[in-house]
Amino acid sequence: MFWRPSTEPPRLSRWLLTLLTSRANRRYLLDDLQDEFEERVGSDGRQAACRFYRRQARDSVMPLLGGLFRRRSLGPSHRDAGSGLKSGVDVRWRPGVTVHHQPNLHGAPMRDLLSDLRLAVRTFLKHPMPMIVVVLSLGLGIGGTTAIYSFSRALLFGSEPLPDVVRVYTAAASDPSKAFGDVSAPDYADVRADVGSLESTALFRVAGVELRSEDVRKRMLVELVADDFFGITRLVPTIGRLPSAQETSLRGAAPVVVLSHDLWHGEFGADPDIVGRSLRIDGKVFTVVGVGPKGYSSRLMGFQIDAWLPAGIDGGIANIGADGLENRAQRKYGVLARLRDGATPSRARAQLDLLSQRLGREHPGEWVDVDGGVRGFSLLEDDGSRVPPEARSPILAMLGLIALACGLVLLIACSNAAGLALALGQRRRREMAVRLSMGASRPRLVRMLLMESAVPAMAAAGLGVLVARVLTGILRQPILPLDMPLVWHVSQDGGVLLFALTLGLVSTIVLGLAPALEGARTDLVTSLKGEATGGSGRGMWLRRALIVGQVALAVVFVVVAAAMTRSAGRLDSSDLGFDTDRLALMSRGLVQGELAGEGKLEALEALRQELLARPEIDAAAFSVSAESTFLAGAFDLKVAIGDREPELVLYNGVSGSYLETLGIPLQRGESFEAHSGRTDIIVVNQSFARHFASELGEGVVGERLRLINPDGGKDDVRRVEIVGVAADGAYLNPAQRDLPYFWMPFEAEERFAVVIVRGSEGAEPALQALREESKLAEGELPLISPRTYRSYVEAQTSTVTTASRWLAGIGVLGMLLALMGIYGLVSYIVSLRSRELAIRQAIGASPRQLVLAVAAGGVRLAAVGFVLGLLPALLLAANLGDLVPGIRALDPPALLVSGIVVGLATTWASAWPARKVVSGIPGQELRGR
Amino acid sequence: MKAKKILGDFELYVMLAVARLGDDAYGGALRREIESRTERSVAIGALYSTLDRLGDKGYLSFRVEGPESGRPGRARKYCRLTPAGAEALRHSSEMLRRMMEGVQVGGEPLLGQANQ
Repeated sequence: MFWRPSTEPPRLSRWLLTLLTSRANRRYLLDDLQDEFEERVGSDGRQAACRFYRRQARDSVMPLLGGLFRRRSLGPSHRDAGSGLKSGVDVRWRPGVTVHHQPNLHGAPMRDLLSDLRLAVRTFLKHPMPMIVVVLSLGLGIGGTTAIYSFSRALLFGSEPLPDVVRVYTAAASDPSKAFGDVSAPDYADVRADVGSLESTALFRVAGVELRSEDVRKRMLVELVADDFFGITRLVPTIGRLPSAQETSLRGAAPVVVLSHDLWHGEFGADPDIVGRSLRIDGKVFTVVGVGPKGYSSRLMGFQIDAWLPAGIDGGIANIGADGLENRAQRKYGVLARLRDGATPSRARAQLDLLSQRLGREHPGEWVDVDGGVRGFSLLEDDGSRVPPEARSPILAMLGLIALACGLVLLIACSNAAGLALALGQRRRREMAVRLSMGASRPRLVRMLLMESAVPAMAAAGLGVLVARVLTGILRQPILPLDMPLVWHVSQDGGVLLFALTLGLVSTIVLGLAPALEGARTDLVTSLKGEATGGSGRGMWLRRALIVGQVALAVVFVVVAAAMTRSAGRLDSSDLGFDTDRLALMSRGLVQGELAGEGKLEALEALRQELLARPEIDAAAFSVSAESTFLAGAFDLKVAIGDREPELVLYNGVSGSYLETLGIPLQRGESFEAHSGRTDIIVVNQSFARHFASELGEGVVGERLRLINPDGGKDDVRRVEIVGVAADGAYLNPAQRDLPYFWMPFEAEERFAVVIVRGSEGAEPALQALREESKLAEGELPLISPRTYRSYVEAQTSTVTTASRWLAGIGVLGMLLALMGIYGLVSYIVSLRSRELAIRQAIGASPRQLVLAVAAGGVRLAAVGFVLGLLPALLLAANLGDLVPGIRALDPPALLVSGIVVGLATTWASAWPARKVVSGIPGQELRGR
Repeated sequence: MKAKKILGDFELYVMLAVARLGDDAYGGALRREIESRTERSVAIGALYSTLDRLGDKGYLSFRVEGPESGRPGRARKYCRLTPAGAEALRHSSEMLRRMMEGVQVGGEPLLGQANQ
């Protein structure tokens, strides 16, 4: 058999056994069980073996628990027995030390605690609804906060900083926001040769490859590495070894591969004999030399890596090709280096500066940028972070903002829970008074009440851990319509669990302390007589402020969610301004494979002709990006006309007949077909002509302008002529139709092409023909797999729709929380004023009047919250424009609906408890009198 | 004093298995031995806490082997009867034997069956 079944026992069961077994026995018990588990995997199969293991774990719980209790009262000889033993030496348990477990010796506090716990659970069950709401909202708050915590930890503090290790970047000459760019391979070779302060250096980049064998076909995200990568990062292999610097040399590397721990477990069943096996990756054969450490995440954005491969393998890999290692303009690599003994970062920086000046002289095309400044190198000491420096503060700010929102939700949940507890406490004054008069001490009562809040808080912490797991699982995969296995490595370990439990504990105190102190402060005589003590105004302003805050927050959520839902509705992919009904597309790499090489344009043209020869296909074209897809926003150039400050404008590089294939209508002038062979022409859309109207004038066609590559050298400027004006369409995304946009001829330097065909009988037959005619070579991972144009656009709009549904969900949750808060507060106020209300009713006030009088308070607070929440909601919606195409900040229908929803809900939340109490309390109150 | 020497049901099985396996008496082997002879499922956790208890009573002594002691392979905790353990086992078995002596179930002597 090629893959062996995994000999990894069920994780949860193993964890349970680890948790419950005393340290002295843990290793032996687990190893014994592992022995038998492996035997059973061999004889009965993995499933049966897992069943056996689980049953063993389940049946061991009670005996082990009993053992743990017993051991606690035994002497230290037990603990010594497991760790300090020498082999072959008899060790006797000393019988004299044996003491039988006697919980009652110091059992009083324990017994009290247990009875408090029992009581707390009973109280919980007595008022299940409010408690369930408390647990749910607290759990969501804890879960959200914990998930954000895991993410910030994974991205910003990916690992321990490596001492004496630095990272080298390319810095733009004039733009300080581009000070930490990647490095090209030839530049890296110069750094390696010239910078004396660096003892060893390493190159790395992340790429997608395909693993193919008889049983497995898998897309992998790998790190391509060169030179001393494993030495500098100090990785320790799980099994096997890591390649030497020699084997991963940039010139003529050995065909070796190191698998990640996850891949080894997931695809190879943790096979211990994996080392030495051959694997086919991107059509080349690699030998496995080892398995990497557990829990590794790439220095590029903390992505989960499936394997490490040498970047310098002959002929290149991962569609990068030789050009990727020889072209100075291809700045795609990260560079790590270790400082020589006694060298300092500042010394290394000085040497790098000298080098960059030399490179500026020798390679002006790549090293002098548009404004004539020479680029430089920058150097940072390794701090373990997985995020490039320029992205750190925005990410930190974003995570901070989300953490703040989660923290707020948590605080609100706590305050709501406290509010409910206070209201319940008012009803339990008599109970407290009876307990006090029976001899319970006040600290004892405080403890009892704290325990009552600990039960829901701990239940919420448990729920929080689950929610965090689910959330992290969802958020781990960035929502990109890419056929690429991009997954963030976010660990959910003990630290995360501890974080959630701490939040639970803090919530307990926040949620339980106020009601507990209030409850214990009960005035005996009054309470026993059944009289309310009247409202103490203490802390009321804080609770009112919190309610206003949460209504405001709910408004933010509801307004943004409404705006997003509306914008998602507007993402109408049925009319994009061109005809997608019969279109199919796929992308092809131009660096490796049959389309690569000098004549790639000819090869593409030949492919186009072959496609056109098929009866299913009417028209065919190729381009750099695809209109109205995620690729469309990736290509822009600076457009300079006359003296006007150059502006970035989106474009697409296209073959002849492209506009015709897509059916993009031309308003004026001609398309590329009429100018076959010319490369200095562009076609613009109407919005482009409008945007630059003052420079272009009425004519537009025939006008000339300059195109500047913002990332290129100073010579990267092209003069072009506008030959046609096409109609506006949804070229960037289905929601935006009025953006300046232009098309230019497809260039030979492109790294991939999107092939688009129009079917004579619809999209499906055309797609089939495209698949047959344009077979992907082994290891060729297209950015866009073959599919119909329509399904591709729809898949992307559904991403936005899903996101807006999520946000709407959060909005509803925020709203529910706010309602709970109002409900709790009004209940509390009513319980304080119940005597006054009873007397007012007795002397003739109608219940209706009383309800209105009480509810008015809640409604007033809600109104203040609504007004306060409106401004941030509008600001946020305005700023979401970058993320959500077509969102409009001021969306009157969305605002109106939000207003009505919030108004109705808050009125109900205020009136309901008032009505309930007013109809129930008077008799009881007057009886008390 | 004598009352202390009485072994519980499961303790008796464990002690008998330890005596039978001799130098090979470690957790996994004991579990399988008892399971195969009694035909009842034995949880590894129950076995280990019983071993601890018997150790506490001074009936068993232990020796460990494995990576920690510099030897290859998995970690194992071997046990052996102490003189007090042997005495307790003898005592409990004797009590059981005496209780069963002469008892007939369905016309057949119980002890005869047990001895087969």
